[in-house]
Amino acid sequence: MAATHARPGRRPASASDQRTVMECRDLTVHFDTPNGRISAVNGISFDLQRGECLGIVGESGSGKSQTFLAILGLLASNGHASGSVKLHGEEILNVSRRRLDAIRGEKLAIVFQDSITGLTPHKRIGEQLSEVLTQHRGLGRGAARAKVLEMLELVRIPEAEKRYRMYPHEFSGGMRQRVMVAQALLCQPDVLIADEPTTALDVTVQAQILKLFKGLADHTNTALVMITHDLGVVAGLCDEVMVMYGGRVVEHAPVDELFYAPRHPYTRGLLACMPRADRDSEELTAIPGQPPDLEALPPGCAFAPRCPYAFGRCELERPILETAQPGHLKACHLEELP
Amino acid sequence: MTRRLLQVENLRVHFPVGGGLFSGPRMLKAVDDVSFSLGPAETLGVVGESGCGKSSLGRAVLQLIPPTAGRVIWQGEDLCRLDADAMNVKRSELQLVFQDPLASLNPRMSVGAILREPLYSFEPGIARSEAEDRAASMMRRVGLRPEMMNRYPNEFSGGQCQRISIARAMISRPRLVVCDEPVSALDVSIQAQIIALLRELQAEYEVSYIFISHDLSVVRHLCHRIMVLYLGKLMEIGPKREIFDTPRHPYTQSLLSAVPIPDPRQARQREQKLIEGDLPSPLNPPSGCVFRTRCPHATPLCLKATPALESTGSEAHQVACHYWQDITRDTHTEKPTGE
Repeated sequence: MAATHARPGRRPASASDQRTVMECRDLTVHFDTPNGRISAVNGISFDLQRGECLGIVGESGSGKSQTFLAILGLLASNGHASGSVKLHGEEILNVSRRRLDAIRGEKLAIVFQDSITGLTPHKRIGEQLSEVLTQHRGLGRGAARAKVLEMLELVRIPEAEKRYRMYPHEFSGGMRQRVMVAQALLCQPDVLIADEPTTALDVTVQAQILKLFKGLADHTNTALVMITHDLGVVAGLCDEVMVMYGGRVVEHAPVDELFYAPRHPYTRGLLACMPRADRDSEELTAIPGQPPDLEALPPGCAFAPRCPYAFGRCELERPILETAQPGHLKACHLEELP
Repeated sequence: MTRRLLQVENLRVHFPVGGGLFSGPRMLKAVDDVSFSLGPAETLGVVGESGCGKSSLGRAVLQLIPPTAGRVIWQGEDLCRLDADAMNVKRSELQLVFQDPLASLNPRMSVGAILREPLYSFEPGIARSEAEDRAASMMRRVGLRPEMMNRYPNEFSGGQCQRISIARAMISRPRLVVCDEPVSALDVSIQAQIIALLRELQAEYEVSYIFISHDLSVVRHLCHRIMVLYLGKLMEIGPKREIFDTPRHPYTQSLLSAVPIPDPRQARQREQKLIEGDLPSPLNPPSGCVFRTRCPHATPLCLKATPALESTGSEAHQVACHYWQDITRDTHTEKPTGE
């Protein structure tokens, strides 16, 4: 089942194979809690191509962060992941700690929302960044320093030489986030995962960081995964978008199709409830109700209780993610949205 | 000009910061010489980046932090000159809704008790049964079932807690509610619900809002007029349509240009005028125009002279920039907007 819906059909298989950096199949994450087992992510599959930007959109509890924490081997200790994630054909899910450390440094990198906890407070910026290179790439100190300075300039840190000797707390939030991006890019990773990287930033600084990511997609082969709740961020940056709800993918489509011809009622609802700064939106159509409680997911479609089009079948039978048209997947019993 | 409910004149909020062995404390000018007015059933949006003084402004208007200078005239009376008791009487008319819905509710009080408390303090003689009835009808009004009255805040979701906060603010029938980032902590689908609720309540109770937000999309949807702050200074104020369609201040222009737009085609076509760099330290703001260090149009004049707020032609639209007329001319030839 996984294989049929994993790769949107619009690319011929042979050509895509060389470009594919990551293949995720049927990834499932659950947590053992005192109240029983909570399943946070269910059967996620996707491919990531070189230089592509994939957006992951969802509200709190949708599983968008846990999916990628699982891929990075960073789940909390009561979390368990199953399925398969291959990076250049090599299985990376549930591999040894040592192998994971090597992969994380070289091929996979992450930028978190909270840049102050992502940096070690008592080490100078230059020291912690060059450490990445001396450890993972075996560079000498001088070479590492030169590379770090180059990277700090790339992310537009002014006076990089001076900043190299400063501590994280001496940087502003936007500057720290840029340092995080520089750190993530040092080893030229194949995949960069950005988890709400601009949510804590002011809008002017957010725009600077997004521009940086955009340049990255255009100038390097790094594939970018942008996890966000903000459809505005996705629109300006991503090629493909996966919309998650209640731990599952409900829609996966190229960015234009997702915005202009959504096939899932939740996606449509999200688009209709967002106010816009570039035009007057008289009435917003709010999605009624609350995001689902993962401890008590309904047996059918998780969105059914909030869906304006739900009918009998939606409450009983969970829709599977299937191709609505080439390259466009949706999990909804409705053939067409009314 | 509409009737004025609130008139704020030359408001300043300065905080002493630090001060060491050899130096006195320095002054952080959180709000510096800000004036505006507000009419009944009007919503004024206050926007700006973190540290621009928007929250301090809201709190100073409500006298929750004492203004350093200036006047806050509420229905003809200067709130800054009232003593604590007289101010407490006024509080039934002046309420506040916070950003963090759970943290702003007392975890040890049931929702019913939270809603009844303002009634007991503002209407001391009120009967318990009446307070209960009014709490129940307020709960219904904000979309919560009155049966949930005996539950505690931790049993509610973020969106529901924000409804409770709004109910608590509204139950004393205030004329002005300061909303400090009321939807920022909520999921997108819940944001729209709360925005709709605020609009309904305004139509029903004719309440005015000072709506503090960093989210320009939400502000555009909800506000009638908008005020842009930068490092405690008023940069531009005007009717919503003029601020969004013909922003005059370079800072307003770059703020608008930085907002992500959920429309891929427009996002690709759009030419963003991004400002470089970060916010300067508010402890050591630039001389002259505070925005000059990030402004693409800055000249030596901006370094020396602080621009005064001047009218742009329409009375209500004012801007503090030496060069707004030149900038306006440039942008008009450059950028015809679609739609």
